[in-house]
Parts: sequence; structure tokens; C-alpha cells
Amino acid sequence: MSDYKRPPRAGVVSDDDFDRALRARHRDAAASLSPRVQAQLQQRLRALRMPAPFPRQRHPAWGLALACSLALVMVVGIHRRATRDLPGPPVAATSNTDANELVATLDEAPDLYLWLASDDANNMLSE
Amino acid sequence: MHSDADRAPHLPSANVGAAASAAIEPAPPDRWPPVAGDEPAPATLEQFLSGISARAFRFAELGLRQREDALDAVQDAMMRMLGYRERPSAEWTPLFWSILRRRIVDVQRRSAFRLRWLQPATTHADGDGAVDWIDSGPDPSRQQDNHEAYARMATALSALPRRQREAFSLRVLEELDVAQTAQAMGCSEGSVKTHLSRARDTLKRQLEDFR
Repeated sequence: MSDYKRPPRAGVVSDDDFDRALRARHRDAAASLSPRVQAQLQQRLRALRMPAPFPRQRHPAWGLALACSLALVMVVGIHRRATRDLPGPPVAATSNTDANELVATLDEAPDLYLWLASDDANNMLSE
Repeated sequence: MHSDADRAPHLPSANVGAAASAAIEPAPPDRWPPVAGDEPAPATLEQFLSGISARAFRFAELGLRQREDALDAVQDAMMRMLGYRERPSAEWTPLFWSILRRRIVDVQRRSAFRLRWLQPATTHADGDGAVDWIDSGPDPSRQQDNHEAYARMATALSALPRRQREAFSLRVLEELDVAQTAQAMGCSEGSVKTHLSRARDTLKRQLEDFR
């Protein structure tokens, strides 16, 4: 399929002639690359012969970010687990234990209350 | 995020690493590369790439205006093409231009991010201020005339909107047919004709003495 080209008018260059002229310039340009660019193109073409040392990884940062995230999650999880397993404050535990032992002693010895209500206890207090 | 060059239409997954190990047979540097309908199709992908490299550089140079960027874009496009060596050779031409065109768009976006477009349009990375051109030849006077003429043409082409420049370069300079140009540009054939007509009108106004 060809594209539409305007018919040439008198004194006006036709589309075909114009295209042909620019194409000729383009061909000259492609054949007139500097030795430096020609050498670089040849060098890059030769580089295509080299086997890739390993498959190209397009997004290495994603793997690194994933590894860091997993490590962070593991550290936080281990820390929280260790915190949960620790015993409570020792002072508070001791106080609770003493009170419990005192109540238990009173519960187990009702004679103490009987003695406190007796005359012996009143005499002892008056002396 | 995937680059624009990764979205080449209807392309199977490329095994670039395995394909890159194949041998490259450089073409003679002074031979004009074959164009569509001009010479028989190259027998191997390596011959095709070697023959098209100079034109590909000029195409990338027009779009990027930076020599090193143009060389990188051409190399990257050739690397990606190696993954499609199993495709029929008739598909190589539009496929290569499609890949290179998308690669150039990617580089342009990165360059815009680096604010490189604030620099003068014709300034190259090494500061020579002109398109790349051979320094010496058998006829220095003629070489100089050709250089100046191409520099004017390149300036006019570079000033075109990107799609118009692509349509004109592929359809007129590379002599792809309308269907191949549309395939390489990823648009309809009608759009190719519209872009081409506008590009030709603009260029004819600016390059009246080209005939």
C-alpha cells in the first residue's frame, strides 16, 4: 500500500524528488560515520558474541528489598516472642507471694482468732 | 516497572543470553546496507544487524542528539534482536525498528528526567556541536558540502514532533512500506500517512533547496 503524494505543481519540487534527495543525503550520512563511531559500533557488535556470564536480572533491587523485608520481619518476630516469654517483675511477684502466704496461714490457723478474742490477749495488752 | 522497550507487540519471550553467544559476522564498513527491495535479505541475523547498524545509529542520533546515548540505544536494540533470531527474516526489519524506536523513547524519558533537554539541541556529548561525520575523505570539498547538507537535514528532522520524525525516517529514509512502518510505530496505517504528510510539508518548507 502506498501513501498519497500530491501531484507536483510548476516550479515546486515533487514529493518523490524531495524524498529521493533526502534519502540520498541519508545514505551519504550512514556511509560517512566517523572512524570513532564506526569502531564503537563494531566493538558493540563484537560484544554481542560474548556469552552472558549469568542471566540478566532486570530488577535486582526488588530481590534485595525482599530479602531485607524478610530479615526485618524475622527480627521483629523473634524479639516479640522473646518479650512475651519473659517472667514478670520480681518485686511484684514477691509481694503477691507474701500476702498469699499470710492469708493462707490465717486460714489454716483459726486458733489465732480465738486467742485474740480471749482474756489472755486482753491482759497482755493491758500489761 | 517495565521499560517501553519491553512492550514490543507480538514478540515471544527472548532468550537473549543464549542467543548472544552466537557468532557475529561484521559487514564491510563501507558497504551501503541493504534496504527493502534493494538487495536480497541477509542470511543470518548477525549479517542483518551488521548491515543495519550505521543507519540505526543515524536514526537514534536524530532522536537522541547524543552520540553515546545513540550508541547505547543501538546496542541495546541489537541485544534484544538476538532473542528473535528464530523469527522469519522478513520480520526482522520492522521488528528491529520497533525495538529501537521504543528504546529511544525510553532514553528520551530518562534524559528528560535528567533535564538534559535544557542543553542546546545540536550539542553532542563530546562538545563538537554537530552530527557525527567522517573527518577526511577522497574529496574534502564534497565531504564538507555533504556534511553541511546533512546537518541541515538532521536539524530539521530533529525539530519535528517525534511521531512525524519516526514516520518520515522509516517510510522515506529506510524505505519501509506503509504496513511495516505502521508495525514498527505501533499505530495504524492511516496514522502513518498523516504523520508522513505533515512531516513532508514541514520539511519541504525548511529544506526548499533539497532536490
